[in-house]
Amino acid sequence: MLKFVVRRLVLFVVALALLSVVVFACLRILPGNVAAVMAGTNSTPERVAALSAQMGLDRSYPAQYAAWMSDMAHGNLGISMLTGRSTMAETWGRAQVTLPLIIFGLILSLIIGVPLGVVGATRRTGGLHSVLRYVSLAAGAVPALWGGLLLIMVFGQGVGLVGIFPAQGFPDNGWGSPGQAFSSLILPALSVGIISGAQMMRYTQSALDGVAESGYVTMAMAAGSTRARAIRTTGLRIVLPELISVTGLSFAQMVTGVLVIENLFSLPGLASMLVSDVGNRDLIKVQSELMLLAAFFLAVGLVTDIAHRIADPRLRAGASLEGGVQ
Amino acid sequence: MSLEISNVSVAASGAPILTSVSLTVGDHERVGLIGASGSGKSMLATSVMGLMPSNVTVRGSALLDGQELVGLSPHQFADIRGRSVGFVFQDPLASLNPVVPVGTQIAAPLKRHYSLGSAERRSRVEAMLEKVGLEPRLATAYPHELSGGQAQRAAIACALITSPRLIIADEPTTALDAMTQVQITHLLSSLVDDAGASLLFITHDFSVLARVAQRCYVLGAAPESARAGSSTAGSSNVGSSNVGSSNVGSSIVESGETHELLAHPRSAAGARLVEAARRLSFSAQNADQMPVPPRSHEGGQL
Repeated sequence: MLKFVVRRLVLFVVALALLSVVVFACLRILPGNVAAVMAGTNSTPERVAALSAQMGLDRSYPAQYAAWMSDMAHGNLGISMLTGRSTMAETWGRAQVTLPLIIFGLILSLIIGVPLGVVGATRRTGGLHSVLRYVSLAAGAVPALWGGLLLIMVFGQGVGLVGIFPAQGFPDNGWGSPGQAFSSLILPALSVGIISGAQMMRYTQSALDGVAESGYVTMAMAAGSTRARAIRTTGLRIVLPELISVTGLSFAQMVTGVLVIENLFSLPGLASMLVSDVGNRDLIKVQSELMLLAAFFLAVGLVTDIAHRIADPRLRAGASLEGGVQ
Repeated sequence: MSLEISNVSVAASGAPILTSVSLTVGDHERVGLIGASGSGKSMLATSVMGLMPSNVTVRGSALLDGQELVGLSPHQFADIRGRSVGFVFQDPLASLNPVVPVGTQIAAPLKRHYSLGSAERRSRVEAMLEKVGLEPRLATAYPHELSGGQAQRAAIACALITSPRLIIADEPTTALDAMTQVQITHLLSSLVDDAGASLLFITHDFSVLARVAQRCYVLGAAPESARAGSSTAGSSNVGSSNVGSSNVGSSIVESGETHELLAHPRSAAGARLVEAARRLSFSAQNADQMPVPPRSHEGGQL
């Protein structure tokens, strides 16, 4: 197990290094150079040259890359051209909106998806099975933007039929007023959570359908369970590693999925920052942001893989017990 | 504990699998149920114990010590299974939960039916492991860490941990090699006798059955009389007249003492099964005298 974690960590670092080269290269092969793009189309050559020198873009590529990497290693992600503030501080501020939103959405997705998937798999005949299947199909097919709009129209304060939750913005002092901050994340988290929950439900149900009439479930029934109970306990435990992987994927998917939602609910999150930075051609900041995003994706993958391995003893490289009494 | 199955008919999605099957397992008796693959012998055991898939319907009567089983609710079945009746299945590695240690699985029926402390449960599991010939340390092993024979021993421990009065063994040796088959059948019979339980042993192999069961039933294509009876009685038999026996389902074609049945099988199905067992044991006895067939492609071209 330790060997696996070490190997996986090494892979994580290698992938991160490769990605940094890709991100660095992508921004360098833009038409013109980074300084020209940042300065804008109407700027004078002198202005471009001054910007180049200021940002160290007049050095060779390897020198630039090395400087960037060394800064990153020291936790210095550079300074925004537009606001003059440190990228790290800005990103951290924005992450306080986005990360809770994603985690909240993921929790909702699991709370909605897994129990309904289990119900769908245990009620193998009759109306409920079909109803749940159609509900999950329909809910999974709703675009996040449209689902969010519907939620605002029903629950949004000031506009909704039962206006009980704030539909726009985030408190200025952030989590300084936790109640307000939390309630402003409820509708956005529902928007991503319901759609992702519908997916989760379909995965859970189809994974459980695969084991519902297997020998494992029959064996659990032979020990004194009803089929429904055997599916809920033995079946769910057997498909757990699979569900962990799916959860990791949904987590990664949500990182990009919240982009639309943050804009719809006017949340000052990471996604909206990235979009406005690209629009503002704040490229050095974009470079660091992309790198952080990539690192986050890879970290989610790393944690998912390790959790998967813990949940499935067949994958654990352990001491073999061969040679027991035959 | 006795099991009396009388006139049980089983159908899957309306298609008959078993027609009017009757058999009895007496107290402390080891009884065999033999039939070719696909004859529905496993279906008989699973359906009278409520283990069948939802599309299967069961009619007739099955009395477990006088208690009617046909028509019980899923919860009533669950209360009987693992407490009064233990099961051993064909492939232990396809039935033991692959992600849970075997000790936990052996303890499952105890946990389900009796309120014991965890220390008491653990000591019973360890004692049971020793009884089936496994080291107690294997309680923490996962099924994939065991050999086929070890895994089937663990599965037998699961079936016997609550000292049920009836054991249903559904082809428990089919997935094992010949050497292990002998060990497992011996283990199963001796444990069943020690516990004073009854055994219904299901197999397609007379050579295995002869070691276990004093009395046996042969399952085969239903005879004409059963066909006529079921087509007048049942709605499930529509359109069976034109295709033949497979559309009527199987039924008991003969029964009796195992050694007598082996010597003089009266039914066609019984004769075929006996013949198959003889051929296998004959070829095993004469294996060293038989010419080895030449290899058709010398030089490893395949």
